[in-house]
Amino acid sequence: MADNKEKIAVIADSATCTGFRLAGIEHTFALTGTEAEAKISELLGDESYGIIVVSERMVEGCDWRLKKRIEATAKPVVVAIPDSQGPIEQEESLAKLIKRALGVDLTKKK
Amino acid sequence: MAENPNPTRMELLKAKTRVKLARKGHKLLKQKRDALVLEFFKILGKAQDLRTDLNTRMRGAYGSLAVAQAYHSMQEIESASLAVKRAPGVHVEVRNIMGVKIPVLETSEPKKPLLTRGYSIVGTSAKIDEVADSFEHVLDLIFKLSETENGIRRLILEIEKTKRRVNSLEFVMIPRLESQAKLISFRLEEMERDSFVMLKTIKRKLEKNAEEKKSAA
Repeated sequence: MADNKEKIAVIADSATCTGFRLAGIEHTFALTGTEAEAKISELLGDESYGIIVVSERMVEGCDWRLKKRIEATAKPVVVAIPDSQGPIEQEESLAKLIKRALGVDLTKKK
Repeated sequence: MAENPNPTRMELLKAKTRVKLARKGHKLLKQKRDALVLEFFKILGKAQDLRTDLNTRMRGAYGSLAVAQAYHSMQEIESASLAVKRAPGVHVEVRNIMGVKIPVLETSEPKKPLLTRGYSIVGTSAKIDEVADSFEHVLDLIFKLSETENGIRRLILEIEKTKRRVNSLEFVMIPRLESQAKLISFRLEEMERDSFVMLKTIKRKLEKNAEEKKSAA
């Protein structure tokens, strides 16, 4: 099991990176703007990474082509997390998507 | 697929095979849609409220980080964070459900007991431990989230696409092809009747002519 472990990467602001380093993640990149975009697209092609944690604000600011690539890749998985300034409203929330696809709002019932 | 196909037997055969093909495709797509929806409901149960949970946890984690920063300097926290070893491992496998790739994670517990974290507990305070603790918690949530949220999003998009395809086949393509086949067969029948009547008329005329010849002779 030890051999086939994939790495976890964090690309976010420096505070977030410090926090995740305390949780034991080695590969943290405190980058912004185009540098972050370049890093994301570099890591997306790297099979040795399992999960890439990216701050929401960074994903929002990305080029639409990169965003599409993020959505399409299953490995590594890209997870967007709120950064130190708090969460932002996502334009297309899951509940809305579900409602459009199935015609029923499932999230409200429970 | 011309709007006005030639009324020949060849075209009729072609149209009929097209209808058959469309029916088959429709059936398959319907099955695909059902399978996707089934899978979707399986994941949905796990995904509920993970996102909001993560948001609140994240806020808590940033809060504790800020407190730790107030007690120590940023450099101290940084140096402590650099000393942390033993990265939690994940193993990501991609599962393929009807062409939709969904990540499946195999994780080890990210939480670590205090003494195995790597930084010295003498030089640091409990505030840093708290930060590490809360971020480990967040990490745990991220593992869960990455498995479900991405998968759900992808499944939903695929369900939508498949649904649209099923509907367009069912309500547009198949009726159109069917009406085309019907049109051709009607035209063919019409032509058959036409020629039948023509033959009858000719026969009658020929008989009449023969009779006239006989009576004249």
